[in-house]
Amino acid sequence: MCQRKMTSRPIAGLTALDPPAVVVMTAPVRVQHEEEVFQRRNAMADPNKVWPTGLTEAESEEIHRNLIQGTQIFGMIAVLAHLLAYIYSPWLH
Amino acid sequence: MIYGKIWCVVKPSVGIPLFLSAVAIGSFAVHVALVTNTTWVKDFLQGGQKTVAAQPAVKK
Repeated sequence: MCQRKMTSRPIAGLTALDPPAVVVMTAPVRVQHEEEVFQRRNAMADPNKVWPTGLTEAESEEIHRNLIQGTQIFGMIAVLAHLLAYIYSPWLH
Repeated sequence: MIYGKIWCVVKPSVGIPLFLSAVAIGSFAVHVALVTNTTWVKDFLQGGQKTVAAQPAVKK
């Protein structure tokens, strides 16, 4: 479970020896709060989480993989076209 | 894959057309600039005019 770290920011009127301020929560509220904090901090760890775009991480990675592959194929065709243009046209001669 | 999670925060219906448009507009602009700023593209596309190396002037 996550542990909440206390910030080292000094509070006016308190010394380092004073006990840290404690927000009193009833047990169910505290558990819910800790659960929310844990989920917020570990959002990327949940593979089934649906993100604001409506996609999960796996779906996002799949789209990205295809986009990269398409870009690579486009790039290869473009390189070939430029090679042919260099050979058969006055370009750069 | 690096940046693979970008589509979790950018809608693919927005991001992919934007990306493809950027590529298309960029390459089109380069080719338009080439056609408008050089003379040889028109001549080349016209065809039938083999470029011959200029002969040195012969003195008579």
